Amino acid sequence: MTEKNKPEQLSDEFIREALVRDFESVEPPPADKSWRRIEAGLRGNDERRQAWFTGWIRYAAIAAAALLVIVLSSVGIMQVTDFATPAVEEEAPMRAADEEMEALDVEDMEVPEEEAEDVDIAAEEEAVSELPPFETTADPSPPQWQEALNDSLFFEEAVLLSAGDRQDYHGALYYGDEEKLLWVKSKDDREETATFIEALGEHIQAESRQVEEIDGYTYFEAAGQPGLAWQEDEQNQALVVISGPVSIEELESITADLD
Amino acid sequence: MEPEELKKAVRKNDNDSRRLLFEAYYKKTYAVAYNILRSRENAEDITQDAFIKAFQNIHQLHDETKFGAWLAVITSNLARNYLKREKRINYTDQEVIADGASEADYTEESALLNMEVDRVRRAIKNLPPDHYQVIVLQYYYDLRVEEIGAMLKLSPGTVKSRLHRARQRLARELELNDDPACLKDRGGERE
Repeated sequence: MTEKNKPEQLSDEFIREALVRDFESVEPPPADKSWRRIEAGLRGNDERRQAWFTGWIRYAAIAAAALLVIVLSSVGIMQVTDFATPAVEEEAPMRAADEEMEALDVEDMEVPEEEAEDVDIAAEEEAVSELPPFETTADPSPPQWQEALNDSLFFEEAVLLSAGDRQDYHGALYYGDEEKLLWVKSKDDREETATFIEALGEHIQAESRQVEEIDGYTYFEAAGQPGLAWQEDEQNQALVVISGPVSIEELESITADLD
Repeated sequence: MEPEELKKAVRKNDNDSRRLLFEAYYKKTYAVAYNILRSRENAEDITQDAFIKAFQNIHQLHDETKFGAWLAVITSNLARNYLKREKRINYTDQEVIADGASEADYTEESALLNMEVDRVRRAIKNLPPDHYQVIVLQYYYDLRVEEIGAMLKLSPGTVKSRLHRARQRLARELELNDDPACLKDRGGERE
């Protein structure tokens, strides 16, 4: 560097001009290619979100269908005992049931008898890889949540978790490509971690079970899904896997990298 | 992009509006990512992730005219997290910067000025990500300390001290005296 090239003072204008020039001189990859990938990414995330809501609807549809079957069975039993009921009238509720099933769009749930057993097993396997849906409300005064966890799970929504007389917990939902994670913070520090984990189970409507405690971290399961709890800033906190292939080691890594 | 057009696009957030925003901010966003990551491939990935994240969370942006700065924050945070995860903080790499003065017929005075600006530019590129982030937000996007604090979730005091340290570092890099007299203007103290 020569003396005459050296700015005598570092002025705001020099910095501003340097940044403008830098941003103008950069040569990014073709914009069209990047845009296509962004569009695909947005579409993929929308589909995942839709799949999550479809999952809810499916649970509701199954519950409604089961309820309908029970109601119709009761009606059937009552009608069997009533010999005077004409057969033609028995068809009416069945047609109504058929129509209702169609309205709920459950046709893809109907499977041939020989496949039914396989589907049950598949459904059971699915049930252990995802937390059942739980109720949340929007958090009116959320704490500051990180925008991303390990650069792969992104903040989606701040929620409030409630369960009867238990204190409410702050929660944040994080979505990755295939994974979904819940980060929970208690509102005060008076709870023991064991109580926090037990209460958390009630908040997310999944039975929770403490597995072990190592170096201040408590490993637990909620409906078979891995979770990790710890105390920080006088708060109980926990990460629970809602769905997707997140191992306990990955939870440890996420926890270690939290700001 | 005009402020009104920007506001409209942010509020609408449909495919056409997203495309407009992408075209307006693609180069700047890539520049931020590249200056932190020093890898074209990673900068490309981070730029795309930043746009996706921004479009999905655009409802969280209260002042639509600050879209560019907000996107820069998302981008730099993603890039910093990437480095943190990869544990490859590599901000002392040197890179050859094209000489902006070469294509024009400058006078000796303006040529010298250009060389000085390029040196500042090189020094900025060597800042650590935290310092680079606040410098870009204050000097390029012209945000106030409070606005930077709100975007980065930092107190104004932390932002001020980060800006001050960034400028000190630039001064050292440019072999200027660390004496505050050499840190001309109001940098790091703008309210």
